[in-house]
Amino acid sequence: MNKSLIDPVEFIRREVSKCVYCGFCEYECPTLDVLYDRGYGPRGRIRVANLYVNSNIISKKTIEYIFTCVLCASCVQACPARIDIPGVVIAMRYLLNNKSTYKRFS
Amino acid sequence: MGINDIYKNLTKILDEERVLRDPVTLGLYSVDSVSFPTMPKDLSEKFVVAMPKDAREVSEIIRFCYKNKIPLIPQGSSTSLSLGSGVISLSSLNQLTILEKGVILHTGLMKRITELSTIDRYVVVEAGVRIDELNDRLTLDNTELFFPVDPASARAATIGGAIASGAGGLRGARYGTMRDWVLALEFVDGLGRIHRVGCRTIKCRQGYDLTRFLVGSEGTLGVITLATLKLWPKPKKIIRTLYFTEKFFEGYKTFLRIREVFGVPLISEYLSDRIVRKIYETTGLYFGEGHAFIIDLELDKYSDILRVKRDLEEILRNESVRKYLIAEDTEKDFEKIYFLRRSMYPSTLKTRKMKYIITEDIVVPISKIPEYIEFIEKIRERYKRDIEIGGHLGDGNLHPKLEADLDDPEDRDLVMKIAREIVLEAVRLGGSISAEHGIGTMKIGFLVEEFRYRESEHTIDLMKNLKKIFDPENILNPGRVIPA
Repeated sequence: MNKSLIDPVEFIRREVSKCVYCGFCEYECPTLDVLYDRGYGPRGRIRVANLYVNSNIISKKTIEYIFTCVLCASCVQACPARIDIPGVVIAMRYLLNNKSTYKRFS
Repeated sequence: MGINDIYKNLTKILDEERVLRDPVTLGLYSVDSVSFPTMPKDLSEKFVVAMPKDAREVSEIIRFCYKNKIPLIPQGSSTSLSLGSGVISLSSLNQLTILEKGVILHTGLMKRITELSTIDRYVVVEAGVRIDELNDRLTLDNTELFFPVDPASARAATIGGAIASGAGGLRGARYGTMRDWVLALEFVDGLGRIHRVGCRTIKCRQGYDLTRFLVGSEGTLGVITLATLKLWPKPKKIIRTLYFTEKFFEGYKTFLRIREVFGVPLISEYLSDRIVRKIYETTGLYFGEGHAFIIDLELDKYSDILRVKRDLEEILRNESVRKYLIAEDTEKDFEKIYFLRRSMYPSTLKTRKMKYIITEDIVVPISKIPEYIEFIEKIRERYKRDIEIGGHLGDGNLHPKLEADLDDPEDRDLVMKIAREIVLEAVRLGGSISAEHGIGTMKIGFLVEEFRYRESEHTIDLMKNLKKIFDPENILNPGRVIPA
């Protein structure tokens, strides 16, 4: 990702700040339908990204939640704030794939 | 008992994968729509999430919590707007506090629709089924029936949570709130006993009406696990009207006229001129300027649509209406107009200048709405604070939205003062401090004041005693609804 084009952390911060935790997106999510907890849904993934970029809270679950998204974008249509949820997931994958970041939780 | 022992004991009741304690996972279950902007640090030393599948498992979890005096927070989809389902609460001193420890009982795995009778018009659903999910299933099964209570959060809100919070919605004036649609309940009390109350029939005299008593109890009297809900035939045809007026009162008078001619509308929503502008700024959606009114009329298959439209236009063609639009449910504008209403909360949130938005939930008699709106304008002027207003005209339920910075003690005190004035004015006009969001933690003080105003403070003691019977150890959603 070209840093001069977009800073992933800033992008995530901007997008997650729009979330009001309404949960409308969850109904549309195919992964939340088959997996147990909220982290496997769009609202959870946005919150996970928020916890990471704003409060530095991260665990192995962060990887599971972020990398199980199938990027189908069904959630985007349901979101009243029109958050770029797949974009946030992709940006999070970029950050988590970055070695220096990965070291901190592996 | 420490959190490790609580976790170990819970894994004896549920499979390990249904007891969650990862710090990130807890970050998802510890908040609700109101407390969401706050950032609790690692909560894994204080809380665990338990995800039971049925009443028997709920009962075992509560028995364990009862024996060890561990607080239990029942939770549906965390869309509470009164701090009712997260771990963060607002103490009586207006301080944001985190509950000391506890088990978050999430009902998301109780998702079955166990029984449906189209002849008797009822459905039996588990607590974790979403309202829209239920209606989609009824449509898929070609039942021609629907469940009419529609809080704005129906896409996410679970049946259990909606019953516990006594939810209403846009169709409140026409179809009432949750309490009018729950026929029977299965719930587990604070001792872990499973109760089954109510009937499958509309008429039912079964001693004291505990079914309705549980509606709106916000998880403080029992955990709802299964509900029998009344169903109703779907409207055959809906005609949606959007109109704009320069002044609120003009639009309000037009609404009264429509109600007089066509009966109680299916929905009758109001958005202030400022909210309309904010929606345009944030979504680009433009229909017109001024105070917006959205009215849905429900027609049966024998109605003459053209005649209804003609009569409606006759009412709307008056000089105070700047612009109007009528759309049938087959037309594109029908959904677009609804999107305007749905954008109210996200748009006020996006355009906020301060960190938080507090959404109040007052109700006044319909005849007092103009007086109340005028009062809000005065408060807005006096405190120079952004307060937006919109809501459900048909049942007098309005949602003033205040901007606030709850992290700043000075602003928190000021905003609580403003909020107090706003809700107590509703009480003075013959209304109440909450219509459909519930009391949660945020409105306990106001509830006490409402009873004081009615010279009925001892009612709080009665409520406290009732709570003790259902939950002697005060483990169920402590710190909500009534003062400790």
